[in-house]
Amino acid sequence: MPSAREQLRALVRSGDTFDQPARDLRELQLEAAREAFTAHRERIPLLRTRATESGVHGIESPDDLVPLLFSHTSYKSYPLSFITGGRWDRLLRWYTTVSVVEPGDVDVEGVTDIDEWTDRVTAAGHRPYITSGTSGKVSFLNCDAGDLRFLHDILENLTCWPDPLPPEPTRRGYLLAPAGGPMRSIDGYRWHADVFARPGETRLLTEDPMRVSELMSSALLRRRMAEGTATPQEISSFEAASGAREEELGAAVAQIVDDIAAHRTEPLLIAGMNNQQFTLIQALRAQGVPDGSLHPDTLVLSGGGNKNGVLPDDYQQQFAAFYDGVRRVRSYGMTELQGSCLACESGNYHVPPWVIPLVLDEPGEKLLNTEQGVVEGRFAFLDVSLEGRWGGLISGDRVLVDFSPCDCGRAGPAVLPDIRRYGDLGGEDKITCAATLDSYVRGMIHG
Amino acid sequence: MSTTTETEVVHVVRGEVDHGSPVAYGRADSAFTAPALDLDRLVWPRTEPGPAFHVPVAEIVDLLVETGEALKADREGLLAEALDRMVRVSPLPAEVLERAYAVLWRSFQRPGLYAQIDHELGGADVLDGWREVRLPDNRTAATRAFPPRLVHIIAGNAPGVAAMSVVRGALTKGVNLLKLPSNDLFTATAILRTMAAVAPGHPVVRSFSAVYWRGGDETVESVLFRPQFFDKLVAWGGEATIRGALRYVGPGFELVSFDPKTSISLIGREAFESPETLARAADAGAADATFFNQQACVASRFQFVEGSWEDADRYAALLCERLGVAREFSSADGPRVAAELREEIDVLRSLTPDYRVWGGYDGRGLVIRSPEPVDFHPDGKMVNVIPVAELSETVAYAGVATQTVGVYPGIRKTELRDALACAGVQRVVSLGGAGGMPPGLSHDGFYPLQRLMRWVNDE
Repeated sequence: MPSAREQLRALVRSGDTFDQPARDLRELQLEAAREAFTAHRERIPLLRTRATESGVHGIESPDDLVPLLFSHTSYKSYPLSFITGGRWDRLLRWYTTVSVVEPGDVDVEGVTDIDEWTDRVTAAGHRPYITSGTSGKVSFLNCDAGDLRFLHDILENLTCWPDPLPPEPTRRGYLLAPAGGPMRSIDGYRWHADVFARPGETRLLTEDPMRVSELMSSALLRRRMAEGTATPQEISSFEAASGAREEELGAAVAQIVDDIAAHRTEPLLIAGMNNQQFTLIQALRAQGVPDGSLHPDTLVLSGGGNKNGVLPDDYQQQFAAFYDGVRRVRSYGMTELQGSCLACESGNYHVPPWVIPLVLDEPGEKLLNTEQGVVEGRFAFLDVSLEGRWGGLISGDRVLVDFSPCDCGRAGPAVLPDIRRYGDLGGEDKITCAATLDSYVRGMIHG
Repeated sequence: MSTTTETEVVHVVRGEVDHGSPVAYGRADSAFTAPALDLDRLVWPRTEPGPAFHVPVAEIVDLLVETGEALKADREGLLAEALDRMVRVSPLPAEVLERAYAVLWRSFQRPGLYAQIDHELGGADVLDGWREVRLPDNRTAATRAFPPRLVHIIAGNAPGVAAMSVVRGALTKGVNLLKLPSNDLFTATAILRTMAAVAPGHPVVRSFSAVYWRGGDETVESVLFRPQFFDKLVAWGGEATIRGALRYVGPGFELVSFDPKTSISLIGREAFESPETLARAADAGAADATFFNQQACVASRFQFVEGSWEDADRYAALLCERLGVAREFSSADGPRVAAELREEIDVLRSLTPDYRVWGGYDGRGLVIRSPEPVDFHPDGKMVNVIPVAELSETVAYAGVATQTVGVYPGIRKTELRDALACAGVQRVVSLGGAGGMPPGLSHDGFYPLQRLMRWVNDE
């Protein structure tokens, strides 16, 4: 008898992944939650601490999961000095408190920078996916080999669900991304290219891999500025280098734009984060490529939040107009979640069966889930599929989740399309004279 | 449809309570209503002098002192009413608000008012008339601190900010529009209404308005923040506020900014001379850390201890105990530690012996001892204790955003103050003295009253 977690993971290949009877699924999920809790509590000290502190010793109902959820900051809770000071063993020790990695698993001897550290963790059979927030500090989200295989299964079986795309390499590929790097989106784009694009016909934004140290460089510089040790020349060089990088990438996008314009009658694969996609669409339109004119077998992958509101409010409508008639992956997800919530024919995002959605009140303390009907609150979840880390997390998103059967005929729950970040909702007009040093110094420089 | 649970915010416009039609603001449990704004009534036309431009400063001081007495007695119940409503919008517990309200009158005492006039402006003469000055070539000229037109964006983390703003605004004799923050929608209006009750229709009373609009609302700010209507924007705190305000600053419309600040403490090795000195230092350190339950900019968050890790641990353990004590401007219980910080701290707990943590997440105080300052912002009665070999090393951790540095023992200030000032610090105090800035001294690196005036010459 396979375990509950295995049964849930197996649904990815079942053909009716998102159409499980609600009651049966809930029971199977709860059993899987117990399995995940038991397994992870043994190996992840932060979860153990949390369980002890909150007095949760077993999972009887979804309510028991709430005090066990992590916030996204857990995965960037290391002191930055571990990186700036090159204390790779301490960074590893931190990593072993938030993941199933054991101190003995990874050899950090001779590591000189964060990219090498990340490579060593990868070499040990784990993948530390990073996400970068506005603070500049990156999160490290551990996946093990099984998690990566599962991610690959998801894209092979569910791309373009509810009408999954046959896994045939028939397209000319464009990945608006670097050649590699420990980011889930980069891996995802590459795997999609492997499955859906013609071998050897994929263009990249740059052949260089993404470097974590480069991604963190602005945070590190800010720290030095706060300490008063960064020189004006250093700041100026940093800004010049950022500018040069942007120009370089702009030129790469321009080449891709020309190539797409020349091959637009063929099936294409176009993958990129929303802001790159937006730049691309603007450039293609400027070249006279009209909306809705790409080959209908074209596959488009996009994603990423609109951080700092760099995109216009109607960017989603603009994407829909330009990519009218092609195959698009429409989903709601985040790196923290294995396999996104996918949009059905009615446009609602169905939660995959290996994810237990937990709708919380705004402070993230009280569970609001119901058996039927629509509930508004903070999106949290336990992803029971995860092996490399504990899959319980509280997001910053305000969502409406419909626990009743969806208009599309499938059982719920589904996240309704109106998704916003609590941080963008406003309503706060509180002014205090107490500052964080970081915000102060950042403000002074980039104002 | 409005519900009865919404809190009603009162506006004061040119000294009178305004009863415009209510507009709803805020979300869910923080919802409130405030009267719709009549923008025309919020400006004082430049074609005529402000109501109090020619009132002698002695009369204004008398009015402020009487207002202080009225605040102390609160015969009209205006403060009681405001306090009742404040509990719903302020992050501070009721008992702290209550004690803060009980001493609002202190900002209105005669010696303090004259200390500001004398130390910041060199005397009342320059407010009431033209001060003769002798120029190098033996010519004479005259100069006057002329009443300004001010729009104040006040901070709401401590009720005293509203009192300080009213006092400074009144002493300038100018006209003052106060923008209420959503975490203090009631203190400024309660003070202004108390003043109006003391002297109905007084020119100073007619020189004040206090209203709410959502910070950053362009339909209001792009209209009001113009040199045609105001000389200066006096903005407190909030990075977003200051950045938003900068858009409007230009020739003829100046920014006077009480920037967002943070504070630290330095504990010298003398603290370890005896159990008594250690207890004294820990108590003083706790007093500075808990000012307004650590919501104020003077509240210390990082405390550097001159000594070994063991010394720092001894101090940290005592400090943690003392954080949970109720004081004049803090309660025994503070806000529960936010979930995101809890996790970061849980992780640090597992990194012993490099990190050690005292206290829990219940808001009664928590201390983290670490080899260097933590990356996050300790908040809600939380202190990060860092051992250093010499106090002079701590200068590296002070910067332009560091407002107050408390030093134990006070005698060590002398050796540190120049270096701290050089790093950007604005106040060096004896540990335990961070709370309550004495009137007449500089604030955030400048003399506010002096900055608020328009200085005009007769040459």
